Parts: sequence; C-alpha cells; structure tokens
Amino acid sequence: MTMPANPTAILPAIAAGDTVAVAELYDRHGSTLYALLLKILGDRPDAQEVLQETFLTAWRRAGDFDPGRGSEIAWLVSIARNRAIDRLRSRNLRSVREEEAGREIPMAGPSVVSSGDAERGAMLGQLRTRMRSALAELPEAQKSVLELAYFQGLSQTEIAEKLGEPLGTIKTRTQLAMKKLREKLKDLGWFDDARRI
Amino acid sequence: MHEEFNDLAALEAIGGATQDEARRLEEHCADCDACDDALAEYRDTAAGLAIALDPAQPRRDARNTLLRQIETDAVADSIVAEVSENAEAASRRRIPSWWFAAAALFFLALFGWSELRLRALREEIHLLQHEKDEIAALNMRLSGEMQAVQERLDTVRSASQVFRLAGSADTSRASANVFMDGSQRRAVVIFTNLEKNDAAHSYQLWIIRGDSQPPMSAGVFDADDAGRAELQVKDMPVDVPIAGLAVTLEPRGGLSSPSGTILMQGKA
Repeated sequence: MTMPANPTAILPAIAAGDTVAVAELYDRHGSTLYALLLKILGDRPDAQEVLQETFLTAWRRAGDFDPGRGSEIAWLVSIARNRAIDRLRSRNLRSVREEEAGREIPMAGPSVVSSGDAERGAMLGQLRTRMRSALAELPEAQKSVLELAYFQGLSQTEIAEKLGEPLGTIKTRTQLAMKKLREKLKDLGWFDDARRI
Repeated sequence: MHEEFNDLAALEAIGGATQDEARRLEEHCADCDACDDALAEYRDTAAGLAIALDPAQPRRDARNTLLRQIETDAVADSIVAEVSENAEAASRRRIPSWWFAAAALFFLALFGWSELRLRALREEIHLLQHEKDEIAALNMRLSGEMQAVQERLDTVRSASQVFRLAGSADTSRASANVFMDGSQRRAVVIFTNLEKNDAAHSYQLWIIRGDSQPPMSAGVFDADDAGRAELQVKDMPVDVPIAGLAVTLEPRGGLSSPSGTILMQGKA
C-alpha cells in the first residue's frame, strides 16, 4: 500500500481502549458527520441518534480501521452514511424527505467547527473549499447523480428509473463524475491533507 | 491500473456498485495494489462530499452522553478482563486453598452472570432492532410493489389508446399490448412470447416520433423464462408526436439510440 499514514491518527489509540481519544475524535469530526447525517435524514433527532451509533461503532471497531483503505475521516463517514441510509430505508423516511426537500436545514457557519485544534480546523476549512471548487467544475447532470447516489442512497438502477434514462448512461455519468473529482483533488493535493485531519 | 476495475472502484466508493461488482472488485484489489490505491482515493473522494457540507453542531449534551456510554462499556470490559485474569491466575496456582477457589468461583460467577446477562440483553435488543428493521424494510418493499401494481392497473383502466406491437420475421410469435394514458403521460406494455434475453443484453423500448426525429428510449426490460415481460413507462413526452413504439435488443442497460434490428413494432 503506498498511501501515506496519518501521523496524528487517533483510531489506534481508541483501539487500545483509550476513552479520552474518543472525545478527541468526536471533537475532530463530530460536526462534519452531523452535517452529513442531517443532509441524509433531514431530521435532527434521527441524525443525533445515528451520530451516537457511529461513534459507538468507531469505539468498538477501531481495530478494524486500515489506513491503506482510506483516511480516518473516510472510514467514519462511511460508517455514518451506511447507518443513515439503512435508517432512511427501514423507516420509510424517503417520502418524508422528498416532501421536505425544499426545507433548508439550518447549518452552523464555518467558525463553529468544534475542534479545539485551530490548525486542524483551518485545514478542514481548506479541504472543504477545495472540494467545493472541484464540485463546481462538474456539469449539473453529473452532480445530480452523485447527490442521488450518495445522499439519497439510490442504486444506479433506481437513479436510471427516476431520471428516465438508460442504466448504462447513468453508470457512465457517475463514473465520469467520480473520476473527474479524483483527478481534480489529486491536482490540489487534497488526499494527503485529508489524511492529516 | 485496470480500466474495468477503476470504473468499478468509482462506483463502489459512492455505494453504486452491485453486490456482484463489489465482490469482483474486492477480489481483484486483494492482488492489485494500483487498483487498491485507486479505490482508497475514491473512498476519500466520496468522503469529500460530506466534508464539502457546512459543518453543523450536534446537541450540546450529546458529547457527554456518548462519553458516559463509552466509559460504561470500557468499565464492563475491564471487569470481564479482570475476572478472567484472576480466574486464570488462580487456575495456575498449583496448591489453591479451598476458600480462595470458592471466593474466586463466587466472584467469577457473580460478575460473569451479570456480564452474560448484560450481553444477552444487548444481543436481544440488537436482534429485536434487526427484526424491526427487517419488517419495516419488508413493509416498505411491499408497499412499493403494491403501489407499482396499482399504478399499472390505473394506467390500464384509464388508457385512452390501446394498440398492439407485432413481432418481425425473426420474432413472429412475439406480441405486446400497449395501454397508453395520454392525460397522465404514462403507458403499460405487456409482452408475450419473447425470447429470453441473455445477461449481456436488455430489450429496449423506443418511442417512434411522428416528426421524423430520432427515436427516444422509453426504458429497458428483461423477458422471463416464459417469454413474458412488462414495462411501465412514466413521464412520456407531451410535446412529441408519438407515431408508434418499437423494440430492439441492446447491450445491458440500453443505449441512447437504437443499434439493433427492430424485433417488434406497432403504430399508435
């Protein structure tokens, strides 16, 4: 594996049973994960509950984290997203969410990143800015398939049905969007920085 | 880097790969560092979609609740570890006195019982939650299926146009009934006696336009072993004159314009 290790990774400490490290992990990533859960679930109590479940899972399964398979934040985001999508499906929230699609979820501004570490907070802000600039370069149709797949948890077949387009077209569009984002983020040195937060 | 697996990695990272595709990718990445690295970068790219959102503050007391729960978990684990260690140490002594053995046994039984009970309750809660989720998912799926059936029935009942698609020379036994509800911009097409398509191909239904423009895709479908298929078309174009429908066999998932020969067709 050629991916660089994160010198400040905190999951190994958690895997060793350090409960204080969980607080550090929460401070680092809690606000990012909560924003994702609100976006997927559109409901604060549900998002709050899944956030708790996410960190409990991280505590119990920290030993499973493999830095070769992605960054610490990517591992946490994956746990949070999978749990949120499961809940979305099992509680039939999708229809509620669609009804509320126009509702704006109040978001805190960038200054409220909960980490006490100002440097890490600034780096997270830079990552956010660069990711947004990469996303801004995608055509609307490509952004739309990413939104449907990632935040609404729709399969490629469901997206094809929803948009009334052939499955092959949707798959190609999704792959193209992800490839463009990856190339752009690589040019911006995004991946190395994502492994340092 | 293998292009096929690069494509699959891009889909897998965003949750878009099928189970079969994900399994093939995992098997390949176990032996291919380049594709494994690409998959890791795609996972980070997908996480970037979450990072791009404005951060949001969880409830203030959530952090303390979480830490209390984790402390409890850690204490429970340490008690289990301590009891196990004591029991192991006691068992290693070659001349144990009867009272020490009894006390250790009692201690072990007491904490073991409470821990086992705790774990059993946790497992029971987990199982019940799992069952509840499964029932909710089943309920949702059945509701979806019922709704789809109802929609098809509604379309058939309210059809303002009914016409037939006939097979071409090679597929002369195949036929289809088309129930078109123009007011709701929807149609149901029921196919019979089609040859079952293989896994690499899909049947694709095309709208033949009356204004001499190229045909538009109306969806893809598969025929079952008995040669039956059913396709519901939603959001049919309102501003396009529809001269008829036609069916071709295309690579799986369909194409944006027909490439195969016409297997069935009919005039609206």
